[in-house]
Amino acid sequence: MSELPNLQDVQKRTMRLTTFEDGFWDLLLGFSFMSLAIYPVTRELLGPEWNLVLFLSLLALMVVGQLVLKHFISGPRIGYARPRRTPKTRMLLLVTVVFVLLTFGLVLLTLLGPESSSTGGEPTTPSLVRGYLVEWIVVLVMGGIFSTMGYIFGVARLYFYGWMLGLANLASVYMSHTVGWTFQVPGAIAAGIILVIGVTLLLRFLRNYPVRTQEA
Amino acid sequence: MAKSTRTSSDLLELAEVDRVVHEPARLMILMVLFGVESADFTFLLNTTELTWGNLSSHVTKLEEAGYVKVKKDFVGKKPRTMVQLTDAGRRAIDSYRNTMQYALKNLR
Repeated sequence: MSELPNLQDVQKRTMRLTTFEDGFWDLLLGFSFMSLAIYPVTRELLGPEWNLVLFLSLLALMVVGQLVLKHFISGPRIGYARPRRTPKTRMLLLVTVVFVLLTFGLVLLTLLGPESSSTGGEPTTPSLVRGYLVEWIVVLVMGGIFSTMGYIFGVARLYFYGWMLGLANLASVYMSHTVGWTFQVPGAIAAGIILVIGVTLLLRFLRNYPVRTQEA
Repeated sequence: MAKSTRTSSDLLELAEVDRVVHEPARLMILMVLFGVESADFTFLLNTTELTWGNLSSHVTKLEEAGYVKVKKDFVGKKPRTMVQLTDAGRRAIDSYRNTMQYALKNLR
């Protein structure tokens, strides 16, 4: 006899199906971190204020785009489920939003910190451990946040995303100091990997969940 | 003697279990609905992996028992059937869970 699911498993499965199965969440994450990777480049071209406006506009566009695509592509395939509003789910949503904002804030802080700027000076090579304390903290925070999300939602790839993005951020800042790269290559590679996973998940989703026509 | 009385009592508890909830397909539907505010037929089909006909007949039985509410609406020109767990349905799941936990807790 196969193992019977319990109520918590069913709820996790429902959450996975509505949020993580179609790959749109991964694509949003990948595009967001890709735009963070080119953030220092566009900053040099546009200046800090306009660059922030561009970044926030792009982020808003990506979030709206993800919702629209989910509605028109995922909705007819997996159906619609309205999430249950309980104090616990509201708290979970609030914590997730705070964590996501914290993650973006920390990454921006490390990319734009005074020591990270590659302009106006020779590249320097501070100690990888002592000179990058903030970046190591970001690695731990991002790894922790994504691992917690992965555990709560039962999505194993989130563990990988957290540690990869944290380490990519550290590598990006290190390369900026040592080689003087403005374009955050390690961050872009990590974002690219997430985008490839997102596209693969989307293709698998489209194949596994055809549009159903209602039968009598 | 005491042990035999206890076993009979446990068995009686099992005999009184709610048969509308106890059926595996209906239990799956109720478990999915327990975690959401409401869900449409397509969503229930994907999560329970039942066929249209099976799902429809089980949802009808649950509706007759007063455990779910069925509401039909339109998204654009397409019809959509939304299913929602009622308070009675939520109480039925709680009661079923307590009954089964009590009856099976000493079973090894």
